[in-house]
Amino acid sequence: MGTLSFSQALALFLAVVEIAVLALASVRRVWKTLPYLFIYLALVVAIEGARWFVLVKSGTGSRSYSWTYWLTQPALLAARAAVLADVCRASLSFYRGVWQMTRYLLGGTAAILVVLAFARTVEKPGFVSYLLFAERELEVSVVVILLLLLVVSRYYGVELGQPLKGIILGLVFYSSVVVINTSILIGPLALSWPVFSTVRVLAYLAALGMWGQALWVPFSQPERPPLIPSAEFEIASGAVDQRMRELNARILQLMKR
Amino acid sequence: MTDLFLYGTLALLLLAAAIRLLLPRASASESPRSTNDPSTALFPVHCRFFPQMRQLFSTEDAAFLAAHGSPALLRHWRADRRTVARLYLSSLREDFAGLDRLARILARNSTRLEARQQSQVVWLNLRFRLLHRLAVAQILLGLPADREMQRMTRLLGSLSGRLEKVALEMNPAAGTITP
Repeated sequence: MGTLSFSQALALFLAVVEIAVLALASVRRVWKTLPYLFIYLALVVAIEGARWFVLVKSGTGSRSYSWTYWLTQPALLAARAAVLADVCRASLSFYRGVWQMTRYLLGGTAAILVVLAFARTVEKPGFVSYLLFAERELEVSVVVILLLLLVVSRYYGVELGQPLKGIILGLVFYSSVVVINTSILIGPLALSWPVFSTVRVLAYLAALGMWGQALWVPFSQPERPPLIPSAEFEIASGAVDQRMRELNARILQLMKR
Repeated sequence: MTDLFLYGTLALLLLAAAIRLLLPRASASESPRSTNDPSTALFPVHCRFFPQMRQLFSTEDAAFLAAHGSPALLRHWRADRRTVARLYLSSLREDFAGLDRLARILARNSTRLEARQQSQVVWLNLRFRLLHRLAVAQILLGLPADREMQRMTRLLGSLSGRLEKVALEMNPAAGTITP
């Protein structure tokens, strides 16, 4: 048995880290709060296992590895979209008033971005080339949706705790690197496939590190937050009371005339 | 190359914005006005004085001063008028900040608020900000901004009325209010 090449060693290391993060997610019972994230992590382990098997059998540059890689990529993309929906729901669904509007906003934006992505890539020739373009557009959509989620959360003062923050950071980081890396590959700069793949793997490792860190510290299962903290309730109800008193006083004045 | 530059810049900017938003917010006082009773800081106060402010923009005063006062006095009066208008605009903005805060509190806590109502508040918010910018620009150019201010006070009244309605309709579910 020969020694492992750098790409094989990196793929092996990635598989180990993926299994570790999946195990951590199982320990933290992530499926209760973020079921699609858990499914995604499990799917990644399964797909990476299959890719690893083909890689060892056929080598990095082989046609079979290339086909295995690109045929499994859409499944991972679909799973990432589900994770996105999962993260949005887990972040805001407890706040029904905010969630009512935000789900339309996020869903509508996602639909527009996906349609735009396909419209921009539909004429790209070749399967791999098409997937590269489509993936880049979809990764831009992922970052835009997550940014929108963060803006809405910030605007309404919704505090996103862990592990949501770490998961969002990991998703945004990985998607941003994929966008830049793919743009370099399909652009005028000659970036070789091995370098392209290595950058992707390293970015995914970094994202896994962020998710691992987010899941490392035990977190309580989210409960419906005390929707109106007493201080806020006093402010809001006091404001309305004050307004009602003013209206009463005005009506009394009118009646005296 | 353009494609690479565009996507690269976009990705970096979005990543930086996301990191910025994920960082804990610097503790800033949310209250738009310093007052002993925080509840009074939420509903508009200054917009009630719009009739007096409208007098400030009347063309009759300017015509009277032009006819009876010196040019220096007229210049001085115009400069003072601009200062007062700017101050009043910032007061209207303060009024709006209070209502905006109340709107967010209600949106976060309401279980019955519909997407349509929410989007109306967001739309009013955008219109107010646009009108404010327009009024500031007009004052800087030495033009009267009374029409914009009137529309701003109407928006404040409209938003205030909608929020009152939402607040009165709020029926928090049992256990959702911290005792």
